[in-house]
Amino acid sequence: MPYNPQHNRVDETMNRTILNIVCSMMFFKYVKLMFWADAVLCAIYVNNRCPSNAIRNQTPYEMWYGYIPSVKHLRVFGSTCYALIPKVHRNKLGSRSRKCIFLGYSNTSKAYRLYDEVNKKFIVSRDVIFLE
Amino acid sequence: MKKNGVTGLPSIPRKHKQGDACILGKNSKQSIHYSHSRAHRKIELIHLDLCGPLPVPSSNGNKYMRTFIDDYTRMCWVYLLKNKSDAFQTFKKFHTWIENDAQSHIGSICTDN
Repeated sequence: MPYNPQHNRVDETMNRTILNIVCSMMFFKYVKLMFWADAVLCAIYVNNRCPSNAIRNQTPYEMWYGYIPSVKHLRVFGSTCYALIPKVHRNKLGSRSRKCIFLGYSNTSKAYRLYDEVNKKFIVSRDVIFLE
Repeated sequence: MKKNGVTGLPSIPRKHKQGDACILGKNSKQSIHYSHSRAHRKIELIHLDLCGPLPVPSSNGNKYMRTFIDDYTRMCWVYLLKNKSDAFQTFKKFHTWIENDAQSHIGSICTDN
């Protein structure tokens, strides 16, 4: 039924949960509004690893994959971080890392998604030092 | 109405025929009964919804987000869309991906449109 969002309780509740997380995440570090999409993906990444009342305080991740997720790698969204520049791309006297903003987790590899403000580029990197 | 609140009021019969004006002017939303049944296996029931348009386009120009929630595990996935018309395409993409990932078939979907 169109115009009947009340029928779709599970999803509308999730929408609210996600947008609540997104808003507080973005205002906490004063992230630009254009990064909302990254914030949404990051919020869901975290939410899937949080215990939920609907499934007796298990995490959705555990229900889906059958094992307990690790949260060791979770970081504060929007925090400043420094990504290592690979050896082939730097010279002997150049800086070893570039300053970035943390914008979530890569969904294809075990790495972080970062935004380089100087070059206006998204990068994916494993070797990151965070200033949370 | 409170009994004997005023005097001189003619008695109004309780069950009179509802007029056209009443229905036109006073119709409201029916109360909603939620279903309490839950799925018993992965992807037996998928809830999906389209959210947007958001006031600011994202860095890739996306304005909408499509959420998919598995009822049994409460796992959530999001796809970002540029136009509302991509919604069905996204569902098809999600469909093939999830049936591959969960090694079973989607039982049913629940959506508001």
